[in-house]
Amino acid sequence: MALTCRRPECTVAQTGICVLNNATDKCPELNGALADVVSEGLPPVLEEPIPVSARFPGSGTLAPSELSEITAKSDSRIIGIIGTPDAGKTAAVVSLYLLISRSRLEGFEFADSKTLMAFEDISRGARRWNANNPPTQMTSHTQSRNDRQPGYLHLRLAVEGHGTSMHVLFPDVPGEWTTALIENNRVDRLEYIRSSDDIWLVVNGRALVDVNNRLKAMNEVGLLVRRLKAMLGTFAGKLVVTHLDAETVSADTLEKITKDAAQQGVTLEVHQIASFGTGGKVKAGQGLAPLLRASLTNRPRDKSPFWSTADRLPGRAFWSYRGAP
Amino acid sequence: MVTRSILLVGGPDSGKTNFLARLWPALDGSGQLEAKSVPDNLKYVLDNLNFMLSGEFAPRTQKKGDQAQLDEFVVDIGYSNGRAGGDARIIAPDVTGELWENAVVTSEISTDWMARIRDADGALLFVRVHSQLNVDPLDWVTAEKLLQLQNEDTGSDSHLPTQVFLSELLRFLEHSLKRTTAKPKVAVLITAWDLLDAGTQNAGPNAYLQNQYPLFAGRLKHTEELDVRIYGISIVGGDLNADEVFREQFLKKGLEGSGYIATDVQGSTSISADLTLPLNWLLSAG
Repeated sequence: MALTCRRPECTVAQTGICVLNNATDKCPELNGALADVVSEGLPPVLEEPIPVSARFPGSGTLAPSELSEITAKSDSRIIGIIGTPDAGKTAAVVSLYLLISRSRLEGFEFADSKTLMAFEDISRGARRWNANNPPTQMTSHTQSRNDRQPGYLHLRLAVEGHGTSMHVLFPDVPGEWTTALIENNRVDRLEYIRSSDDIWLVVNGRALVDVNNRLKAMNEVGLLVRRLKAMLGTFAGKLVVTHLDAETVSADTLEKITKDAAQQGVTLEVHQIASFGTGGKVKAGQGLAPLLRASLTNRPRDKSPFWSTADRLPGRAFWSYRGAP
Repeated sequence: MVTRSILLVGGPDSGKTNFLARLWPALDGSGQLEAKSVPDNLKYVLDNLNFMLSGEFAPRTQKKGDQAQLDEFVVDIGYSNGRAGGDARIIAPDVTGELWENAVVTSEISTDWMARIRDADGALLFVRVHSQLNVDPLDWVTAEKLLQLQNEDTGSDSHLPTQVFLSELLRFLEHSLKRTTAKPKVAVLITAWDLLDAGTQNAGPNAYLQNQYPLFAGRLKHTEELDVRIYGISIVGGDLNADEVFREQFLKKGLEGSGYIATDVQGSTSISADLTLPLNWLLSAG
């Protein structure tokens, strides 16, 4: 019987050579061989399954690899949020989202979000870091909404007085990464800070007003500033002090923190916020609109100077161009 | 004749079925569009229309097993009042709201329905005033409590806010509606418009969405992928279920002249008795 093959590109019928380099008496694609296989009682080769469902693009957090699609084409800011687990980073982002949801973020109008379901899940506490084994890096996120994966949250906001809308990206990462930076100088997980246009250094305001915790909290902030300085060089950012609704942090404490930072070459602009209005002294979300406006309207951080400012290397010189005589 | 497919998109109890039932008699030539013939399959629409003619709205549609599609309304239409053109065969499948709910929760839909979306010439996106199934955004008190629950299962059965649901549906339509030289069209229909107080009605459909669903209103205003228009719609002009006086008047008067469409026109609200307006806009060029 002449050999024939199910694969249209295979020339075994003419050449006797299998395109898959299989022995002609053993290749499962050969019609003659297939008949032999079937006759031996083995099941036939299965047809490729027809998919029964199609997918829409998800709206979970964005992986770092997905940011360039946004940042390359439009006015955008990446906010590098960093702070220890109890600082209030998540609460700040949740409060920001709730303000936008109710059109109460003064000076801003919601235009779009590619991560709306991620905002919803985080707001409901439905996605939590695995306390026993928190993630160690930003990777491509899964489609599963049961796992909280480090990634970016996205908002497109129409900004009052700004002709076009702006894209804002916030990292959603475990506070344990900041602790690891402070305690063990683990910088690898915090590479996202390098690509940020502004940095929010979030500190728990309650700790700064508690006489038993104040010095520890201030020391922690100071160490964090030093670690960031070592990573980034001198920079300017925001000191975001949470829990304004509990008690206002004293001006002396804030001055000490910012002065210590300035000595390191780090300029911190202080913003006190209340993510929630517990106690009714301040409104929920107070301070967030001015903080966001400052980050979006200030000049973005100089992330990576194109030319190094290193001293001239010895032994190098340019020869001058010799034009035509 | 050109065949045009229109998607009906919206959650449960958003008014899709009642709109479809009311659309058939609205194609009687009193509006801009009219039916050129009586459809072969009129049973589904008639069953629901008969509720209306008996003085009640069609009840919430029950799913038949796993089947998302309830029935399909196919009608040949054209411009009314002797105006030439606009001839098209409209195919409008009525679907359960659960189809769209499930799509938002899972980001998945059957390949058959994805093909229908990709083939659709436009979509009617429904949201109903004062539906008991509408969900408000999370408030700060609840959010603070949820965030303070450390490592506890907060449950994934809390309902998605309506404006997030609608925004996700809009995102799906942006992604999947058929593209030609013009942007795909989506007509947002705010149903049961008559339930709103006079002041809210006078402010218009855009203002209603801005106040009630600011996230969704923002998406509609700033979408770069779709051509969107917003309509308030009352299919009979009042509440057949809760307003006995209106119901009696309706049963005496009938469908003719009942119902209206509200649109924003240059800062004020315009009212029209032509219930075919949204469909006419969807099907028109430009």
